[in-house]
Amino acid sequence: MLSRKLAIAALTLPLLAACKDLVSNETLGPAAVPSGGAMFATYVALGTSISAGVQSGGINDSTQKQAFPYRLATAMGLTPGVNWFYPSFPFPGCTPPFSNILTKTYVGGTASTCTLLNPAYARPYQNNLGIPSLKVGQALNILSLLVPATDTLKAASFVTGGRNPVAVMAAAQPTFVTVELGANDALHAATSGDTTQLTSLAVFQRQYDSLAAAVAATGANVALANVPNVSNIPYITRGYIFFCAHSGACGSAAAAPFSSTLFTVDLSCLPSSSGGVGDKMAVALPATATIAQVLAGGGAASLNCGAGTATVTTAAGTAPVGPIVTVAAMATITQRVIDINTKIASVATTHGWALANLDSVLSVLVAAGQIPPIPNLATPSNLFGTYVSLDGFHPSGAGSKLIADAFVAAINKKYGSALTPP
Amino acid sequence: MRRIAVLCAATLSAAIILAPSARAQGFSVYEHDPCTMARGGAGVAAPCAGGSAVFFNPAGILAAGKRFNLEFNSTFIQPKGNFVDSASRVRTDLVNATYYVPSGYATYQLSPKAAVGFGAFAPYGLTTEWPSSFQGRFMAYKTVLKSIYWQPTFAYQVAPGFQVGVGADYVTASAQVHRRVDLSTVTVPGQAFPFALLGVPVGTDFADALFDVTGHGWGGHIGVMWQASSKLSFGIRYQTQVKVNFTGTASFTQIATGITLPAGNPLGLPGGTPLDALLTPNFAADSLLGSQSASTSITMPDQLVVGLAYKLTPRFTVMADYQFTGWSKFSSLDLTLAKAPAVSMYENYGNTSAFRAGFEWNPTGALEVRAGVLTHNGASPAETVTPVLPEGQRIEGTVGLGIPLSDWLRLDVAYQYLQQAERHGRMVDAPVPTTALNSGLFHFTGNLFGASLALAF
Repeated sequence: MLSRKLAIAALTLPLLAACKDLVSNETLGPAAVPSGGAMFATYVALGTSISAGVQSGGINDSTQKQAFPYRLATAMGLTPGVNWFYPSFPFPGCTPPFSNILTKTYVGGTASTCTLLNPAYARPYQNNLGIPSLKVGQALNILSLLVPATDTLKAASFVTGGRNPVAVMAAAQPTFVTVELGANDALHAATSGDTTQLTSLAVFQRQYDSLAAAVAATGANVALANVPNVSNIPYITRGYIFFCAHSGACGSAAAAPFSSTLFTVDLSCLPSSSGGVGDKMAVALPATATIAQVLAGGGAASLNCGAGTATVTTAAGTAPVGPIVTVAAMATITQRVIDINTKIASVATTHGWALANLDSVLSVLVAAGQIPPIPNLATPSNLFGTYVSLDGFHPSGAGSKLIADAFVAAINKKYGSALTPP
Repeated sequence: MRRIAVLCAATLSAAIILAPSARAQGFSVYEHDPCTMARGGAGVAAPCAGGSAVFFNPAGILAAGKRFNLEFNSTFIQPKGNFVDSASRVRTDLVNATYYVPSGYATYQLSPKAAVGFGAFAPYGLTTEWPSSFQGRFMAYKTVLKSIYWQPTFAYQVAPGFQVGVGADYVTASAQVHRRVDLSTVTVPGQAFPFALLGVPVGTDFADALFDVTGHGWGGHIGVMWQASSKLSFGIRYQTQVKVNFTGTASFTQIATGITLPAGNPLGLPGGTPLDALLTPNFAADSLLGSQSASTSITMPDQLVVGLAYKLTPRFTVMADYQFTGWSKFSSLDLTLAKAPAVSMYENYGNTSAFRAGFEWNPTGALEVRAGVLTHNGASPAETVTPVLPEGQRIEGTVGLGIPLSDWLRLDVAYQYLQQAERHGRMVDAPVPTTALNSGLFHFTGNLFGASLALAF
């Protein structure tokens, strides 16, 4: 009888042993959900240099932390370096930002070189896939990035290792994607005055549809961004501004060095309300800087807005300067931006995605006088005001915050989230 | 007699051909006989009849049963495990498989005071297999360690109730490690930085590596049993550590990355250049990743087991063992290669203690009913829990039966359930000991089935 009781008691031991609680289990704890909501668990940013964090013609970890995707990730409750990664370029950068674009000096005093990625940010995938110079078609096929080899191009190869950005985006299995693409399909035309740099509308529309299909295939929620009117960027200065600065006829005093009597501004540079075309064409920064430099040095210069020409005259003779964005080019570029934005808005509507209005962000700043109509050449450290960095077209840290705010507003409106502007 | 010799030869041959694959505390295996297995592995003071005392206590072969005992065991191990990534919560399961661990023993009573025996068993071995797409594949996606201990044994009764056994262990072993090589970690030719710093994503497979080595070593085994009374007995055994030096080959097979270099790349190569074409020469016979010799050494740790057995009634015996295993000898797994950089996996295992308890009940005088429990701590520290061997503290329960089929033939069966504590672990090599790289949780359980046929003449 004793043995039977013992046997029964002993036979229960294996059952006890099978109890999982008898071992000291470690646990994962509850799944980490960003404070912004589960939809933001894996956020990937597809975009241009604006997404990447380029400022003043360069990029480093400091400027990357000011870019809108970084700010947006933080607003979502993600922690950069923990559950959100970007290809960090240590100081001074890749390439280093300008400290003075007029004298071509760089942050850190180094020449235009590329630092390598921060090893701590070497990851299976990156969350910020912003790539300088990237056009929509190049997000689909990075090898079509045919800009001549420059340092910003090297940055492109660093970010994805030569893989197509949309493929890297998909590999990250995103739950939320921002797409800030399209600006480079028009920007280069605006900065060069060369409309052949524009992506044809038909090609853009086809490529944007392909891009949207790839993003949609991930099942992520998405926020698109439209393209700022590139004719509003302070890198280019409207012709009538020169007329005003020269003559003091626009309600403000003439301003040196453009007030020089050796500066000839053709009457075609009057604004269209006065019979000219000076508000329908523009002079790019290199030409503006050269004219100012020559006038300040006692030389002569001329600007003919109708003809779309500018010259400088020094002891060496007379030479044309540029780039000049002619009336015809400006009209073409402006219309192309409108068409691009129409397409982007259409895609957002079709897919039920959010749309951040970056065009409005820049337009509001221009209307509010926050963008200098002409570069502050006398103060190279503040050429373009608070919101535009020293290269004349990339946003400064303050400008990037406005872009992040625009995304937050659009996302909250579309998806009912309660992100706080970063 | 000739028939017996044939059976003996067949048993041992099977043990040679069917090399063991398993996984347990550290990479030890203790299931070498379903009779002892069903008692929770306890029995150093009262080894089972049949011959398995060659392993469980060499002194016990004097009490193995009849004059000639022959035993052949089969253990089937079905591990179930997974890894859950702490960030993504993605779960990856171990490859579903059943591993077979055979063992065999033969004993012969020379006289009432002396016996000889021979055993082939596998106290150390493991197979850990994950899908080749598993995120830990760059450490190992399949690791196989097989060791066979060939042990001739002699036992002698020194005094009434007091007997001693000794054995010499000749160990043959083999090991295979399958792992992938991550291009992002490879230094760019002609540069001082790795491909990762050019943007090649971490986790870019570009080579499949196989290290295939074999080796052998020598050790010893000693056991003592003391029958203190008609009810109480004590036992102790010590198996020495065995250092096995392995030699073999390492081979690398190229895997296409599909990466094409963009224009303006820092290597100065034309845009559109396939990266794979640049890497292919590295796989040539006389190149860094060509087939080459490889070597390593692994010390199979020593084991010390002490225990007692007590007959509560003539038909009911309880047993309890304590086992010490010297896992601190396993400090690293270093693979030396003729051309490619050496691979060193930091291990820093700690010694372990196991407690085993079981009983054997013979209600009818024929059928034997057995059950037991065992528990042990993990050998690997928190910074060394990896896909190679994600082991840890365990608790296990066992049940089994001994069924006499005839006067000379007995069948034993056992079942064992294994529950391992869930542990955090890492998926990447750590250059220095750290838990900072632990990135998820390993979960592991196992079902083990044992069966044996024992002949006694």
